[in-house]
Amino acid sequence: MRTSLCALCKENRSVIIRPKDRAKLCKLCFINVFETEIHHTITTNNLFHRGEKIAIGASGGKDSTVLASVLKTLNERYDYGVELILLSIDEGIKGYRDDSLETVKRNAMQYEMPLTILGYEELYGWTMDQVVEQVGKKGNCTYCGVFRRQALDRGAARLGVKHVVTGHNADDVAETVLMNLLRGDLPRLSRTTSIVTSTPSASSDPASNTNIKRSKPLKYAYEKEIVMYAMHKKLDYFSTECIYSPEAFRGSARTLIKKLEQVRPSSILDIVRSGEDMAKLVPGNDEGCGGTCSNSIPVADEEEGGCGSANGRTAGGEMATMEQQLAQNEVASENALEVDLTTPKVNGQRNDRHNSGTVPLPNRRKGKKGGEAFIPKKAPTKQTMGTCERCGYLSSQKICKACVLLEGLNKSRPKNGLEISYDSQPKEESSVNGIINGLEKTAIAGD
Amino acid sequence: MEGDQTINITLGFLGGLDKLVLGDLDENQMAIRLSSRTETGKNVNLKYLFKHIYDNLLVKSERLVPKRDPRYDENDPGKQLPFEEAASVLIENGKIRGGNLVVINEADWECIADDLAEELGVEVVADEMEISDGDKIEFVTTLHGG
Repeated sequence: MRTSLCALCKENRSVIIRPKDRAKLCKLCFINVFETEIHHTITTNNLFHRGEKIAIGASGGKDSTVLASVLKTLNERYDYGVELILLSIDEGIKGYRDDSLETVKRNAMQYEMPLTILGYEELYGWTMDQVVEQVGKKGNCTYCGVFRRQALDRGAARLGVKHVVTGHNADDVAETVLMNLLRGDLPRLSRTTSIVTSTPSASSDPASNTNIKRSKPLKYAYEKEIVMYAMHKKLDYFSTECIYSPEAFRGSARTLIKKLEQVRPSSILDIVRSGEDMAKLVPGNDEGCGGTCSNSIPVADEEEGGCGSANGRTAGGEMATMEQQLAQNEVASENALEVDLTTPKVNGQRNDRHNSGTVPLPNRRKGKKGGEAFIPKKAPTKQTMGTCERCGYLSSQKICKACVLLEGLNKSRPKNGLEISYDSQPKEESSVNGIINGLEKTAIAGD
Repeated sequence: MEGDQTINITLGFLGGLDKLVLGDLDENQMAIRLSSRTETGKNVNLKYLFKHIYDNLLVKSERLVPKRDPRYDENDPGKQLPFEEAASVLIENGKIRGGNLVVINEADWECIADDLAEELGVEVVADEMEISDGDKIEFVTTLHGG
């Protein structure tokens, strides 16, 4: 078999073809380009500032392991002057998370970063194993996702860290864009495409867990390249899928984008870019100003990113259902949806292609003329943020999602305890106390 | 017979496929021997290898036997995954499923296929690339964990 030479150094044999531009590179040039691109993502978006303490949300999986490795390398190479620490969440899944945490512990030593592990049990009084026992395998990912988001913020608050970086990659973001598109949830789409999100503080207390910045330095990195990077750098990562069924809808979206990637590799970044462009069109979104306004950091979303372990294993039926939904969406778009978007001034191009900058769309709520036919089910109002009455966590509702889920779980817990046996009752009671204590603890930590 | 010649190749399974295909072995690779020609006398190619892996390795994988998978309820056939679906994590309808990388002698197979296409001036279907004695072929899934 013939092998070509690297497009950059023209010396070594090329070993990878890049999905984004089909450039063929050798191992060393690939590693270098991959790191440099992440450096560019960090600098052009001003993700870090000197002296900042940054927690890497570490699962032991490929994405967060690559993130930790690359950030360590870049921090040394370009002298960012940031302090990096690892923050892991123990969801309490035996045979999965306990094993992956061992990987994180090794990573902590390899990268010489301090590690903090925070458990769902400690925070919420429930491990995921217990949640699954209670609610079954269907829908358990919702609990896990909602709990994890808060857990990372709470862990960061405890450590006095204001910035958490996560390993969400381009494939993850493309998946989320597709899911929100298919759900017709443009406000969420606009929040989740942003590279920086934050949970703006309702209190001025610096220790508040509602003032944590989140960013995704790997947002433009292909999953394929992340895996290739990990392979060539021989990184130590954990790679067993979560033992609980993946969220079916995310799995379907994932399968779809992987199929698209096979046919047209640039699709993934194109979907990410489309998501960003669509986000600019969402009324009330600050990004409409082209990202130059101050305070344009979107509010973080509780479902952002999913858990990444959805392996796309879905029954054929689910795909069919989604295709049916797709078809329905098509019908819907033929009927009415397109009306609103034909505003002549729409500038859907990216800023870097058109220096003129984007022209914000007139606000749909005010400037609606012939577009009456299109009334979204959920009005795309900007979320107004307050704090949860129970735990003090940032929430657009009176009670935050985690507390609502916990309420449901806790209500049914003693009942089940009785049904099983008398023996388990005292244990159940202490668990309930544990939850109350846990919540009080976090409320104190959060106030 | 001339057609009885064999080739030796090394297979590697990474990123979670190791446990799935090879079970709890410490190794993530294995050596196999293949006939160098197909039944119709052609040189063996990747497509042939994928079928070989499916028919000989995946069917024997304990992890792919649905009953052994902790996710599924042993007593409820409705909650067990048919073998074809479990195996589709790597191979589906004889093809490598999207999200898996194939690395031949440390190079991305898409890169090799592109080189070959440039050399021959025709489109190359990656599955139809021939394999030769001594090749090391690794499969890496990108689908697990994060």
